[in-house]
Amino acid sequence: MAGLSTKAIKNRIKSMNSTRQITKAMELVAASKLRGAQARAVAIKEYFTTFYQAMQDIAASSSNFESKFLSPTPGVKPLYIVIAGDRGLAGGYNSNVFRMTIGMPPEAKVIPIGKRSVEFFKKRRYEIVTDDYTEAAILNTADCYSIAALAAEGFLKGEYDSLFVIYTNFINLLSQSTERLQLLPFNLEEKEGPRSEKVLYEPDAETVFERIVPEYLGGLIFGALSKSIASEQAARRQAMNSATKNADEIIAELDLQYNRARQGAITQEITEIVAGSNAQS
Amino acid sequence: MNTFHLTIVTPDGCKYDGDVESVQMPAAEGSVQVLAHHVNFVTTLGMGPASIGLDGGHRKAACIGGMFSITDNVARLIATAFEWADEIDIERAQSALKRAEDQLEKADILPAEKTLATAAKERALVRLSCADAKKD
Repeated sequence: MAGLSTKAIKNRIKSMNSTRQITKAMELVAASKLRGAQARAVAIKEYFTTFYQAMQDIAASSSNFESKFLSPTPGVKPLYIVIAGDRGLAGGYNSNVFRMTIGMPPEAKVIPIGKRSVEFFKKRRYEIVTDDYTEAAILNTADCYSIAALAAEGFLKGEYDSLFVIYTNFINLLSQSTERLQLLPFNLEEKEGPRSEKVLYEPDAETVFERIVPEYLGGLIFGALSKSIASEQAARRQAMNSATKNADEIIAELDLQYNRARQGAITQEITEIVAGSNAQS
Repeated sequence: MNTFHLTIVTPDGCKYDGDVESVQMPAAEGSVQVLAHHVNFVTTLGMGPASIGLDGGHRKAACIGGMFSITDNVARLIATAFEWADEIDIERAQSALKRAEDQLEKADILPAEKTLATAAKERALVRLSCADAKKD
């Protein structure tokens, strides 16, 4: 048997086994974190769809509806909120997010969320509005509302002409897709048919609309964050699952090699003994 | 008593989905109560106690931010936070109140921090007042 000695193979098997233990543990951790994240991502969906419907209803309620959130200041920079993970080893999760930023103009401003995202934009010298939200995993609803308030305020002041969020949509356990969503200026669906004017607004439609836009954005950002976190855990679980499988394969291969090498060594020893005794007689 | 359908949703999920007799909530311009067959109505919400009338009684809750709408006798309450009186974590609200007050006492507080701390204090006070109201 050519190649490695039995001892060298044994060492490799040992190290493979400990790698396998680590990837297996990471897979289990990701799976348990995924359960919580998935529940959160599902819970927000209802909030979001109800809110979206209500927003559309308000905007459709009057025929000459106008809001500062619908008309951007021309000629200023866009603002991007980019949600990535806090850690690596999650398959293509982080790099897929960053691939989505390729079309971003270099003068764009950024609010990065997640350690990897902050590092990425610092390295590329983008203008970072705030790096207070470094750890994606610990952000709560209140943080998302402050991000939204910050973004909405900047938009009204004319600092940005549009607001985008780049996040990873959680489709199911096996597939996630990176998406770019435009939050501002607010997109209104053109509705056909007569508009119902018989709605009482307190104080009036425009004020109601403008007051709830920041909350709506907060809800959207929280939704994107929840989906991203669920996606990250799902991607990590999958990556670690295939790493564990690979380790299993390599171990099986090495086991075979080890047995062959051991067999080879025994055969050689017997041959030597036989040859030795033949020589004596 | 006439009833209407009410859905209460928050970012943490659906808090209530069913028929109610009345909704009293902290609207932007003051407390508002809505009964069945109210004219189509939309308003934003401030912070304060809410009270939902169902099965002849009233269920109290702390309501923070968001909006309320009723169209064709179907009501939606979309809140930033909505906690039933018996769900409120009194200890957490008290510690949040203390934290916000400590921060407001600092001499070198930034304007942005002050806004956040004031809002946090208000939220904590709303929660505490609603949680106390339950015991009466």
